[in-house]
Amino acid sequence: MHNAKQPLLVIENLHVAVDDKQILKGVDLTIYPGEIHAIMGPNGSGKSTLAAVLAGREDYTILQGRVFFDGKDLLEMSPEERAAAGLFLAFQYPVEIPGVSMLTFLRTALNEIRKSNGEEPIDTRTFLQRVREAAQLLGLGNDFLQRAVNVGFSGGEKKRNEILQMAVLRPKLAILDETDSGLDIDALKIVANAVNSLFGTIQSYLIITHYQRLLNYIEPDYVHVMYDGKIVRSGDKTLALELEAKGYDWLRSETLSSIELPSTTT
Amino acid sequence: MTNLQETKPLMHLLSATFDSLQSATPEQLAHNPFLQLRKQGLDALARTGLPTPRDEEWKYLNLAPYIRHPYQLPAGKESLSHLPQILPITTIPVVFFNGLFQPHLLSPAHGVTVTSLAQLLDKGSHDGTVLGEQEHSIGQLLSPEDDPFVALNAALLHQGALLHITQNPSQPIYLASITQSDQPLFVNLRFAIRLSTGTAATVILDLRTLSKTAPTFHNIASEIWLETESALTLIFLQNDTAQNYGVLTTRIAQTARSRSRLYTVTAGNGMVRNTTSVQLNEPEAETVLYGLSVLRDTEVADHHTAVEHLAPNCQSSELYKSIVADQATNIFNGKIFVHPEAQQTNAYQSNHNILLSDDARVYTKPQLEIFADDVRCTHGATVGQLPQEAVFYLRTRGLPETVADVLLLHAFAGEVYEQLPLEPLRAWIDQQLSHRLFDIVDLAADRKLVDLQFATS
Ligand SMILES: Nc1ncnc2c1ncn2[C@@H]1O[C@H](COP(=O)(O)OP(=O)(O)O)[C@@H](O)[C@H]1O
Ligand SMILES: [Mg+2]
Repeated sequence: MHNAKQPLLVIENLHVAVDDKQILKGVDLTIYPGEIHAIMGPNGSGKSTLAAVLAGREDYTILQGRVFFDGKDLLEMSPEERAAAGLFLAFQYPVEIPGVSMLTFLRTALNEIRKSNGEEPIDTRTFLQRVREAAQLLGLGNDFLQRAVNVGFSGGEKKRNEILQMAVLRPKLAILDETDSGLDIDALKIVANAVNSLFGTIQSYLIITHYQRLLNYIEPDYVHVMYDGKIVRSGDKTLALELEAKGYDWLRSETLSSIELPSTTT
Repeated sequence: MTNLQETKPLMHLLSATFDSLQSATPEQLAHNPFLQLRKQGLDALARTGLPTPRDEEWKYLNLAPYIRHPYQLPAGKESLSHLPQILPITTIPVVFFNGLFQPHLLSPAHGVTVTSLAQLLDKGSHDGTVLGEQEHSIGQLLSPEDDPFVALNAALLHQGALLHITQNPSQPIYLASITQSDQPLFVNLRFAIRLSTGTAATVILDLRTLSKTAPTFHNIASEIWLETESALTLIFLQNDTAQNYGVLTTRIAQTARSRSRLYTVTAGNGMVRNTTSVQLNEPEAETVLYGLSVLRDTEVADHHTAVEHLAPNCQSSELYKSIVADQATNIFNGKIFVHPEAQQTNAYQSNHNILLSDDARVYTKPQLEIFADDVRCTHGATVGQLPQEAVFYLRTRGLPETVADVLLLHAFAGEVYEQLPLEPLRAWIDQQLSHRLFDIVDLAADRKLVDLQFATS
């Protein structure tokens, strides 16, 4: 049904190394607007590396492969150009920015993105309204917005703050890297609800998770399993349940027997 | 002496002092404490000469490029018709133009008595009691033996001001040196400030040169007494231009429950040496020393601080930060002495530095000597670069690298002056520093402050 549309993200045969150690060993993935994809996989399989490479982290060496975002060569773009083009990464480990208030941070970010897209700075009223709505959606008080970015935030607050930023910046594609880990069930529901309610404004999600838990609340169209730097299986949401039931050890043996990969989006 | 005069930098400035001492009768010398101070200064200088990097206290600051100019002392009767609007606040202006006091700029102010040192000296004999009592007199806190620049300041003793705060002044006192000259100028000023019991005052010590072609060298020595329960905010503005050099020696003596709060902003003057010491002489006195350097080109800032805890239950906190770009240099040396009788002392010191280029230099040295046992004392020093994790995080949110850099540097610097009590002055400093940070990270001028609003919404 999406084939008439242009894909939002196309990853082709991506090989990535860090410090001479190869981490991604040929990743292929295509995401169309309106799709929610999930990537699962054991720790160390390369999920965060993939997310970081997509966001533009510079310590990685691209050995092979191509990535297109909205038809543009993503690997040629700086992190800020990617943000302006509509790519957003919710960090697995959000970074503290002492001395910079959430409001200053969000307004600077939003206005820089608008500037890159040839738009005027947002007026203060609209901005504050948008930020307060986002805070409310995430169950965060207005005083939260006066605090320095991630400084002294609890683990759960940091994760919710990533989604708050997403809600304010309204990207086309949001990559959520283990946003669920460290959240209690109530916080998890809040986050899932925010993600779901923003779906539409945000065209597509790529949800990286270790556990199946989050996928009870956010229903993916596709589930991919990453193992040792490759996507070794793809399927619909039932794959997540299968993984949950069989555990990641099951993969290890399957991978060794070198299974045929189903193609997902073509 | 003739030897010194001919060959050593700055020594030619001393000939008038030399002559005045030669022509003074033994009688005059015996009864005029100011003449005695000049002589002490001259003698001390003749013994030690000016400091060189071989002197431990001047190790990283090479003065040679700054003192080599053919400086002249102020001459004639230079007058500034009106005070240029530099700061965005109204003040009580105690202004020196080309080194000379400008009494006409000062109208009678509530709560503070201002006396011109030159006027006092020119009156001839005087018993040296300048601020009411002998113990609050020039030379009581800073001795020529302490430091060659104090010796030079004493030898050249003439211009300066005595401030006696007897009630709370309604405005900050603006102690400013402004110069404008085609010739290299040497401005030697002496200040004595006394806050009477229970008073509170803000003093801004500002150095400005309007000269474009010739440098000004400031040598300023200040002695400050805080009586019981008085409170002083002292702000050093050193955000002028590259032709402005200065050595500022300041000593504060505090009595019971007095509070001092010092802010130093060094961001533009070509060379600044601050030698600042605070003596906490009686119980429950407090001092806060905050310093920020934002340096570029070949600017040099040298902050030497010494806090002496001499009585129980006193508190000192020090926070010095620097951002150093290009070939600039920042030096921090922080001494804390806790004497045996100073039980229940709280002493904090931290010095954090960000280097923005391979050629930038930072030297940091805490020196703690603690002789009491019931003491809480912490200190820490760091030298680093901009945190790349944070830069990346900001870039993924759409901030260009330069904007991310400025935002982080601004936040780093802001901690030092965000508590500054005079809001319009704080905002002005903030704006000046923001401009400088934009320049340092080389962000196009048209972006300045338009897109990036730091003010909290
Ligand atoms: N900056 C780095 N330097 C060295 N090794 C790294 C770096 N980033 C990731 N790795 C390694 O790459 C592998 C994949 O890590 P990561 O992408 O974080 O996996 P996941 O997110 O799936 O747990 C791990 O073995 C990890 O140790
Ligand atoms: Mg990870």
